[in-house]
Amino acid sequence: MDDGMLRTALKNFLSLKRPPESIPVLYGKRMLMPFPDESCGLCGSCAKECRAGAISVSESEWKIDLGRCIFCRRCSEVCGNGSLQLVKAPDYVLKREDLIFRSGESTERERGTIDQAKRKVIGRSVNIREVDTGSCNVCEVEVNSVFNRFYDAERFGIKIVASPRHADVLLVTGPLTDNMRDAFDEVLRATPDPKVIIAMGACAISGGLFSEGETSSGIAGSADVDLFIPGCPPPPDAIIRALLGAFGLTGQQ
Amino acid sequence: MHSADDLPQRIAECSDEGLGLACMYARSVPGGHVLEAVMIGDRVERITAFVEGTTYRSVTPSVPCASIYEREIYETYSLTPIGHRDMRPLRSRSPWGLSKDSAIPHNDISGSGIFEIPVGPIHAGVIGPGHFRFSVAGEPILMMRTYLGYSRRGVERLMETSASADNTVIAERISGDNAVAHALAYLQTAEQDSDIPERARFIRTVLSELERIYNHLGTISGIALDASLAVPAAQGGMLRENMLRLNEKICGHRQLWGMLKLGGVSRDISKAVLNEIEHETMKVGFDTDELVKLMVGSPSFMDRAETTGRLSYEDALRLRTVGPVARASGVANDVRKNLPYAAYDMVAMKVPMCPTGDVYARLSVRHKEIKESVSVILQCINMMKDGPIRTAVRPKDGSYVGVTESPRGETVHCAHINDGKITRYKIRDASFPNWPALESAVLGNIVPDFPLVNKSFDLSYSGNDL
Repeated sequence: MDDGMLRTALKNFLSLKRPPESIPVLYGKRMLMPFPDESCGLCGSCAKECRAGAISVSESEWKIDLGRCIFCRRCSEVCGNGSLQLVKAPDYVLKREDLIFRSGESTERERGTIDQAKRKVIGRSVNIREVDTGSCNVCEVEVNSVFNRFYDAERFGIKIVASPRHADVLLVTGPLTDNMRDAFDEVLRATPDPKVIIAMGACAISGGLFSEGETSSGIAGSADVDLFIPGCPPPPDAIIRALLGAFGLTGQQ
Repeated sequence: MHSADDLPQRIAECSDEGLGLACMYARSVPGGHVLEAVMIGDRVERITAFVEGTTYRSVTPSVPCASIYEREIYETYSLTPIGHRDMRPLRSRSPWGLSKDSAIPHNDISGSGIFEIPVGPIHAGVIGPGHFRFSVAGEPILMMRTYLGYSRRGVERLMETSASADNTVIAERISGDNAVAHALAYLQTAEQDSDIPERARFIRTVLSELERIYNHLGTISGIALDASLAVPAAQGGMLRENMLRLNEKICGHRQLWGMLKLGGVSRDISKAVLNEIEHETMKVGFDTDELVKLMVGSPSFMDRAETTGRLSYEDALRLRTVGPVARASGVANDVRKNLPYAAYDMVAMKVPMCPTGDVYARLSVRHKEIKESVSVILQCINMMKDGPIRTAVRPKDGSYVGVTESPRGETVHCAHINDGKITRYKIRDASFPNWPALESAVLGNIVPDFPLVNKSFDLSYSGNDL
């Protein structure tokens, strides 16, 4: 082996620092959601431009469903009077309702943890089985990135296992296609209880852009989802923050 | 328009002129169906044939690569090709293949000591869903069949029912890591012959080469991982992460989504960022050399990579494989060279080739392609002048074909536009013709080498299933 390369590798530590709060939001452009300030005239041009159907505007309020948002930021480009601001979206939420934001309300969400009983069983070894129910590859690219040397989630005890039978956590991506439904039911049966089910990305949460296609519009109808990670796809740093926050691993040394 | 009986003849004639059958699909018209065959070589030729009733003469006996397209047409339009002997289901997957009343047939091979190993649709790695059937006698694989379709989301239908004029958002999500290539193919069908500003064309070329670099780095790192080389796998992952971060700096998305737009690009790239691209890509070129040197320098890796998963030149040609897979088997086929799009007509580039067709050949083709991509990016940045980045485009009615070279190979989009609406949209991802090639490449290899061969092919599940 070329020892020059090894020496450089040992000299430069690439892994981002723990604890999770210090894992930076890279360049700050991802995971910003549109939110109107007071100047919003409820004209509805953003709702018309929204391909994912995330924004709805009625006479009295402006509403965005982050579970559908694909973070394309087209809405803020078309906004006539520039009242759509980009604010930080939550890394994760525990309830589907928390992904719906209304104008005038707070965009902050509590960083809670999942059910205490489940957390007790799982402890600090989060064994994840990633289940692709028909995603477009990119969620897989990002889950793989979570385990590269930069993010290195294994040092927090987060690990990908090869079979649903070895897993405590199912990380589901994709809109749950009709062809995948039987296989997904089988996975749910094969994973021992108590299991934690994570819906990652707009597709898994709501079907995203594909909710009109040959899909079941996300996994919410087929499984009890414990954790929602919005994004299209969520970047690796957001995935790590979500996992550490939701499983209460933040206090780790 | 021809009668469907002449179709095999016409396709064979075109093949003699050096064109290959790149895509075949059907669409409904009053009174029957029309079969459309798209032949691609140094030009694009469309052959249409009218089918009355529900049967037509199969093209497969004379042009074997038509097999998958005819199976697809059978599934969606119930048109039966007469003379086609392999009508296994292509994308319909219900009930699930492992249950007793299986919709997935056993491999048609039998004998004492032959066992069948079903794998999937949920795999051990973090990849898409697909079902494989291996027939083995001892270690070597005697037969392998792929059954895909689990990621079928109905993208073509979404394109056809879309109310918007700009469907780049959907095109980017056909196969997310080939987003730029798919979006560019879609934009070719939507922009047709409009004049795109030069700066936008250069930016598009840079984006599509950046996409190629990060995809190929992922594949190289995956090959290292599947051959149990931990250090090169980690190094490759790091290089790819660097590229993904560069992507994020350029357009705010790690996979370059949202940058392309009907009529140009949505954002300009500033001088400072261009310098950074220049610097980073040059660096990644050298680092990839080091990485591949590290892999190739290991005798245990070469033992696994050489002669493994060999796809012969004849098979590559017969199945009309595309992209790096074809080029690693000695088939010179690159859309960027044959049918230049974006700014590829203004840059000089070589098409890396390798004759052996094994895992090592595919690795080295990808390695050389990264070097070529770096050179293309540098040329583009040098030639780029200030100017507009977008123009107004009004799509016209008619039938259009868009062809681009994604990191996985030739990507074809066909659109039929009537009254400003898309009436039929056909997508053919590069993985679609390459999956059958995998079935032939693994023969004679041992089952534990399958992941390695599969990774070296780097096929997309979602692009195949749509």
